[in-house]
Amino acid sequence: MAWTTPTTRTKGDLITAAIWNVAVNNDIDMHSQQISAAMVAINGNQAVNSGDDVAWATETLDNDGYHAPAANTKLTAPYDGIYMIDLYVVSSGATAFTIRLNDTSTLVDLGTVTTLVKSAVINLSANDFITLRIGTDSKTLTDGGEFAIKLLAKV
Amino acid sequence: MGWVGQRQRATGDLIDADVWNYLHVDSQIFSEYQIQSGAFVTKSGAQLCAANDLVTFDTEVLDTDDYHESVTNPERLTSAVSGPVILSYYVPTDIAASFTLMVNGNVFVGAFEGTSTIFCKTIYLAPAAGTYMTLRCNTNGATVAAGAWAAIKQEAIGNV
Repeated sequence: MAWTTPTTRTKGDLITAAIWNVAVNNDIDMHSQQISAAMVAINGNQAVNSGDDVAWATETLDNDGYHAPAANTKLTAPYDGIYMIDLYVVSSGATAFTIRLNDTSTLVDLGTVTTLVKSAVINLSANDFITLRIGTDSKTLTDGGEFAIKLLAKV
Repeated sequence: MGWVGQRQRATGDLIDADVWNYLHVDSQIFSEYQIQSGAFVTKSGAQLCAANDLVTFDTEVLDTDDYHESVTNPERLTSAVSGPVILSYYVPTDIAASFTLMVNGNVFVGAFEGTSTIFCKTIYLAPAAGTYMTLRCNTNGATVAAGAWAAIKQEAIGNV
């Protein structure tokens, strides 16, 4: 389904079912799909080492299948699109953080910090998944750290 | 054009052309614009910056409303309409560098993430239509990596 720009009508035009289904139903459905987001959180303090991906055991919001409890380190994009991500994670000490794409490459280097508070707008394809990778040994992440993602626009 | 509050109809009401055009067409297009309008642009190659050079972007992943053009002013993201936007940059460099956000060529936020090899910042702005945003490198000799990106997303129309 795609957005169809509705056309204006003139007096006497008949709004048929076909017109209604495309110009009204499809477009409203399209808009509702674009309110698409997830927010997940760390449940309990989490000991981490370099190479670990942060586990997000708590699902605060997920209206489009971004997060699965069985693979709770991942947020998976449902559409080709531009997404906003937002992170708030507190560590026991200076910790290197990166956003990894599909477990193959670094998408965003977030630097080395004790308190990670960062937003970024990123480009993902459908079924791409992102993880928050740790780059420092022997740290503990505080209960309640959050990772949020929201679809901004489909590409 | 703007959002028009919808009204319930009763059995027997006639949905005439005026109702259709005003309540449905205008509102749908308005919603689509606010939901979808934005741009995401990247760099295909590295850029060696002198002090005060503007970072350029040559590849348009998304550009729904001519926020960006790659020939005359590839450093700009220009607001299509008045209203709040999300503006985001991810700009890695080979040496620690600082950057200044410029609005219409004037300093808006100077060196707003200190000096680092990673510039990653997202802010809200409320520019008027035609306002352009650029990112100025303050550090002579810094090379911006290929793949750096900038994004703008219209969040609402008006109220500025």
